[in-house]
Amino acid sequence: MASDHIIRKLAFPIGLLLIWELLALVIKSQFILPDLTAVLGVLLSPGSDVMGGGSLLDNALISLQRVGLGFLAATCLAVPLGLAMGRFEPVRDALEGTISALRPIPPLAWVPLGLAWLKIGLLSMIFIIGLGAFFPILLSTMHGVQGVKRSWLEAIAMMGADERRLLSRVVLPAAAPEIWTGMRIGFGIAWMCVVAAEMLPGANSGLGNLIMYAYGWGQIQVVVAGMIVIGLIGLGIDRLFLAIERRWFSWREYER
Amino acid sequence: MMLALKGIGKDFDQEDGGKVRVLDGISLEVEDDQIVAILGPSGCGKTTLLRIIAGLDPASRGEVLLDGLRVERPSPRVGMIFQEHALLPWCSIIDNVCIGLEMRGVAREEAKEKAMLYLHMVGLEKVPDQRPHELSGGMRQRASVARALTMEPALLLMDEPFSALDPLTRKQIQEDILGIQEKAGKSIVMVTHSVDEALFLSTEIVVLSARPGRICRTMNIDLKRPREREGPGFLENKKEILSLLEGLARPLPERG
Repeated sequence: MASDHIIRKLAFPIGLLLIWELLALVIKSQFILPDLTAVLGVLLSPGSDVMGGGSLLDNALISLQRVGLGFLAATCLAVPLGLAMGRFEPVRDALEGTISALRPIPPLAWVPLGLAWLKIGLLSMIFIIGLGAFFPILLSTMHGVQGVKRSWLEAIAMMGADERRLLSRVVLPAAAPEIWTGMRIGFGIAWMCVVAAEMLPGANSGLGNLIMYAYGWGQIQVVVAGMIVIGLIGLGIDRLFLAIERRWFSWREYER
Repeated sequence: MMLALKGIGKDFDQEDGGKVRVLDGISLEVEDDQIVAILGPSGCGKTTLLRIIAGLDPASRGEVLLDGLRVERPSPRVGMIFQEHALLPWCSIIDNVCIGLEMRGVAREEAKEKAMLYLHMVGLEKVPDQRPHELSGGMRQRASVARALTMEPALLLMDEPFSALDPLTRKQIQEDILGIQEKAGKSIVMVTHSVDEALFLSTEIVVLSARPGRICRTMNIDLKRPREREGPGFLENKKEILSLLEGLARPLPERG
């Protein structure tokens, strides 16, 4: 049965690779669809420089560093704000409308303003990435805090807890699983934002930039290899978030 | 310890802007070592009354005095056992029981030692490191009793604490409560649906009328302990209370 499961999971991606390779053989143009071996060649030597645009590995690390900074900044702002909004109705009333209106604006639409305010460089990147991660973290923190069981709060309040203690002993740990889910979703969006931001004029490094750079030189196999690396890194980090979630928040499965 | 309720009344706001009178003119005194059971038809405001005594909800009229001081907010002098155990699911049993002591500034080791004493008292000394979800319903409720006792409250409030337990566990835990009450010398005010439970435990039974809840009968129960649930005095009292409750119950939805 277990092998059945594995076959089911692998059948589609393997089929996809086969079709890709067949199409590549038919099309016979590296500029439209590079064949598997060409892409594998790029993937298997991640440390080698791509025509002066830096290596796959170096650029991936740069992108990761950027997304890490932006994500961290977003978390540091969104979690406390979400706590305040979830816990105190006046704060929620004051901010919720504005936030609901700002949220649908795609982070990339902020690029012109980001560049005007922060100039081309790391700061404007962090701004764009942070915007992507900010809203999911904020909203799930708020919902998590609002969903804390009243009896937990009251039981601890009965033992003489003040607001600070309630926050640290009950609200934060009780909302942590939902905050974590928001961070996971936020990271996914931030990762998409970093690659997109790196494709914009003015960027000169990162995976997004490498893809555009390689495209300019007609190196489509590098473009595809870069896309695969972006996908795999996103997948890996998502799995990491999930694994930690299962480990830390197992108690949640027993709560209705 | 002396608890005095003076003309307690409570109104709930309704959506149409009107008010519903839930409790009216409740005056009651509870002295040391008394166990008072509050009985009444569904929706008569029993739980509301208990929450007012706990300082969790404000009264609309009247006042609650504990040793002459007005109760306006939750205080460690009053312990509360909730209908559902209200243990924090991410903490082990010992951490749940320690939490009040730690908030009071007791050092971790000392708090643990003290918590173990109370876990002994409720028969949970073997499971301090389990999580709440790993215990049975009865054990969880025992743990929340231990947690409340660590604060050495003068008064213990119980809101239908055993209603979710199976009959056997329920009987056992009722007996244990009596033992604990004798050892620790607390006064207890409890809300219950069960006439049996009220008769088995209490020194005084207060019967509330249907909404708005008013005291319609106060009975001193001076049956000898241990009480025989099938004994003649027990059954006689039970009949009387049941017929009183039947008269009070209106054909309304089950729970309230």
